[in-house]
Amino acid sequence: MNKKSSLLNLLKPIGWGLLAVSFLASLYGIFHYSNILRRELEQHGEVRTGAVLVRTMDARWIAFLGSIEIARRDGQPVGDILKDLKAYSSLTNDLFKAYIIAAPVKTITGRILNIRPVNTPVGMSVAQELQSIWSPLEVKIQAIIQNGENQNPEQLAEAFAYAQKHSKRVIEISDILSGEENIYRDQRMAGPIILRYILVSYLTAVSVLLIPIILLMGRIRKSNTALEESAALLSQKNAQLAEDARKIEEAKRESDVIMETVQEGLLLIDVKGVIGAQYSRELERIFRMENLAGFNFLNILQRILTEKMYNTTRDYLGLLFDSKRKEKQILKVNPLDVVEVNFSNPEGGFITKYLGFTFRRVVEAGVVTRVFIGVGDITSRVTLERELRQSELKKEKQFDLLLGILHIEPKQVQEFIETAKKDLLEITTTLRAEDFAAASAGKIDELRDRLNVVFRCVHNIKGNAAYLKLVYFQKMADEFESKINQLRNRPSLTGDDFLSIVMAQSDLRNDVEELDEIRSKLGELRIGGGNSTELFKNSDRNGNATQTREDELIVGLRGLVTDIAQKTGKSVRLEAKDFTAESFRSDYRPLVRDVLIQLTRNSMAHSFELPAERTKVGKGREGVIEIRPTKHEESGLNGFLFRDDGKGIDIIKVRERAIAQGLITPEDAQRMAETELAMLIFTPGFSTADEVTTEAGRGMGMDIIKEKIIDECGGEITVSVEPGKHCTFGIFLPN
Amino acid sequence: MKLLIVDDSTLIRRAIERFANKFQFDEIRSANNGANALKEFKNFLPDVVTMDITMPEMDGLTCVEAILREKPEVQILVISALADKSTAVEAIKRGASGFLLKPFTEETLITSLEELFEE
Amino acid sequence: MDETHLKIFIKGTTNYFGQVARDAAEIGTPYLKEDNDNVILDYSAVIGISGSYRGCVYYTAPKEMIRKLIIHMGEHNADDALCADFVGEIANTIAGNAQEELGAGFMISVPIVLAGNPGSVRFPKDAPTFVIPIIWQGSKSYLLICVGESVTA
Repeated sequence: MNKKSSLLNLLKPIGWGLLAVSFLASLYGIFHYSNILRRELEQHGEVRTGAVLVRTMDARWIAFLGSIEIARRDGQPVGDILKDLKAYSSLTNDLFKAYIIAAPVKTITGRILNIRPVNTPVGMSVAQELQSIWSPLEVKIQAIIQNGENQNPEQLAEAFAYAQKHSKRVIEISDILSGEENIYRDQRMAGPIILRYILVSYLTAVSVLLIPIILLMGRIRKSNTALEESAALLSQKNAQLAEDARKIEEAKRESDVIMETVQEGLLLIDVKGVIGAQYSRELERIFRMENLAGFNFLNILQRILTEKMYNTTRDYLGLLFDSKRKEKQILKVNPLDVVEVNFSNPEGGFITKYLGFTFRRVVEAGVVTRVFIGVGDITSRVTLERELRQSELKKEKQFDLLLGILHIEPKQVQEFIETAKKDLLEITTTLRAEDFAAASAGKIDELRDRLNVVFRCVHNIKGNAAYLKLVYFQKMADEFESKINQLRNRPSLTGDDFLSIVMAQSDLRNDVEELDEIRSKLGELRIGGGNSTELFKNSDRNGNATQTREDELIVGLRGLVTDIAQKTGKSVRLEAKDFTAESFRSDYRPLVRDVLIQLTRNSMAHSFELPAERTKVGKGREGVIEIRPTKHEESGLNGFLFRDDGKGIDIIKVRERAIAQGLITPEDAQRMAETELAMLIFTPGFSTADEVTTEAGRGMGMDIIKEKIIDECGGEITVSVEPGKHCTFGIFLPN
Repeated sequence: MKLLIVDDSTLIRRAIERFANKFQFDEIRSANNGANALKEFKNFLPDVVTMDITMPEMDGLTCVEAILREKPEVQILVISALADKSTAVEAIKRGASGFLLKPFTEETLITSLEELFEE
Repeated sequence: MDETHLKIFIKGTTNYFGQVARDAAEIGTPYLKEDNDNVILDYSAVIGISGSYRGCVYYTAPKEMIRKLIIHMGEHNADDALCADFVGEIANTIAGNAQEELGAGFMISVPIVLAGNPGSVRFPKDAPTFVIPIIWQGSKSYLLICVGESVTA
């Protein structure tokens, strides 16, 4: 008893120990088995996949060869197709070889298939056959790949025919290989190896700790039926996938239409800057690039932006993808809202465009996964603003300037420049004037007064330019005048309305300076060029030796008369036999010229009638301006009379206007003689012209004549009028 | 809540201080250049900083970085007359929470300060 | 520089007064600066422009106007330093804001503030200088703009 019990006592731990060992062994057995089973199943799946690949391989060859032929016929590049064909060709090689010798096969998607060699007699024979079908085709395909872009249609046709011929047999072989694999798998599953594992596991389990057999059996059974179940599941899933694919296809078609037609570049980029598969067609047009999917957006930007802008934009995109930053703050500082970009032009040089970008985050689960970008070409909007200052104008101008002064005596050009500079300076002095009325009504009057002074100055420049036939300056001054007239018609004026004035003044000043430069260069040329002007002068003098040479000023005025007469349809002759500007003090000569120009323009515009009208009232068809030197009866001042035989000054209109403007009372008007009334036209701001025409309103300019002759120089002015018959001005200056 | 105003213009510092009063800061201090701002920051440890960009002795952007090294959770509003977008992007990149263009008004300043705390 | 550019500066200036002083400034008649014509009041600030534009923008104002402006902003002690400081601020803001519309090529320097009359300020010769009187509450200050486009390829 004691012994027995002691033996028992001794055996007890051994027994427990054995139990423990067998338990561990069974556990190992189960795990080992299930691992083998899993690997078996996996490989089975791969072998089947391989068989399916074999089946589709043939269709692919045909498809590749077909698309190469189509591309060739259409003259499209085939490089991409060849690249794919090459990849499939090497896959075919690997796959077919794998059925004969064990080798891993890497699929196009990068997956590794472990296909075991077939070892059944049938399997071995078809694998050999497959190889023998492929080998000649591989040679043909290699040749096609070699041909690159220069494809030979006969070679293509031959390979195509070969692939088609063997197509049916390849499919059969594929089925045989699948069948062989299924047989192999069934053997493995039902085979003694598996049974042995199950048996060991079962016995161990029972003998030990009543491990739940049912559970274990269930697992094994599950494994056995797993393939059938998964096959059923697979076909169900396939059906689902097909349905999903249809829906996706439909949705894609819609989004394709949108992407094709939207007038903005739309795209998505990921955190690396790679452009997504879907983007709008407009994007290709904007960036002048195709196939942008998969392309890095930053690379595009780097090509078209300045380095600084590119760096800023890269940082900016970094901020957009940084989920920790607030989108609102980032969107505010978009560096590409209007950006100048330069595309290299295939015909050489660059194309400058203006693009506007907008950005939005795409947030998934709190993380910025992509950024949505909109790009618009805003070039037309931006360039429209800049087109105004095209260099064309400048070139034209310089040519005009040069051409314009070639016919004029250098001295006269210099005089024009000097007086123009004086007039421009007067504009500045007027605008700069400090006294600025406090009351707003007064302020507008003040501004109007300034505008009138500016007008007079510009008008004088225009007159001088017209006299010298400086067409360019005449045009510039005329445009300047119309800017002033626009302001004059405004009900109210503010300081910044004068911006267009100073701008025009600055341009004109610039032009005058440029003219000055050209003049001095031309002067050098003339001196250096052997006195051509001097020669010309001599021959002129010689040619007209019997006549006294006419004053330069009169020649100019005559030209002015002819010009205006042509434009207005009037017929006027200028007579100035004994007049010469030389009889005045040299510093008064420019003034004498200004006054004569102004008087001539006024007569031409307002006094002279049309020829038909003149004959009707019994005058000669041709009007006459007479300029005659004379002395002032009382003061003895040296001067001239300017007489035109037009209708003269409209005294009735002057009287009406003067009363309306509050210059005189109706009683005054009754008392005043016609000459006295005529003098009113010298009142500042007085004008009888209903509108300002290009040929100047009478009155405008008369006040400045009075100011200069009487107030500044201490001279005299006389007027004598016989309404309808003639009008004579007398201008006298100190000696 | 404490505010540090950094601007080289005394007038602007005072203006910000007055405008920011509406915000009920517990304490407001100011500095007239980057170097002083950093010194003041270390003592004061404010929650919000308004920072001018163009300043003598350490520019505003360098100062933004230095301050963030001291206290990463501080909210910095960069204020600048430079309307150049590169400057604004650079400021945000260096860690500023917001950007305000000069001249600002009481409203725009208050809005910008409020936006610093918006989620 | 054309009229649109000048308007950008003027808009910036009037905006400044409109926003800061809550009382719009008025523009007097602008004019062209002659070489011998110096417009310098009590406080002036010069901002250099470089990049694709070249030149300077210059703001000058009388003491009494700057004082009034500062007081208008709610400040009581408008001393000299504060006035000088403020003129710099105005010039800086006007030029800085113009940058937005003139683009990144328009680079501006830190303002140089001149208190009192320095005699004259030199302007680039190749571009005209436009003088724009800015009148605020009866006082007259001036914005001088002399900016040309750089001749670059």
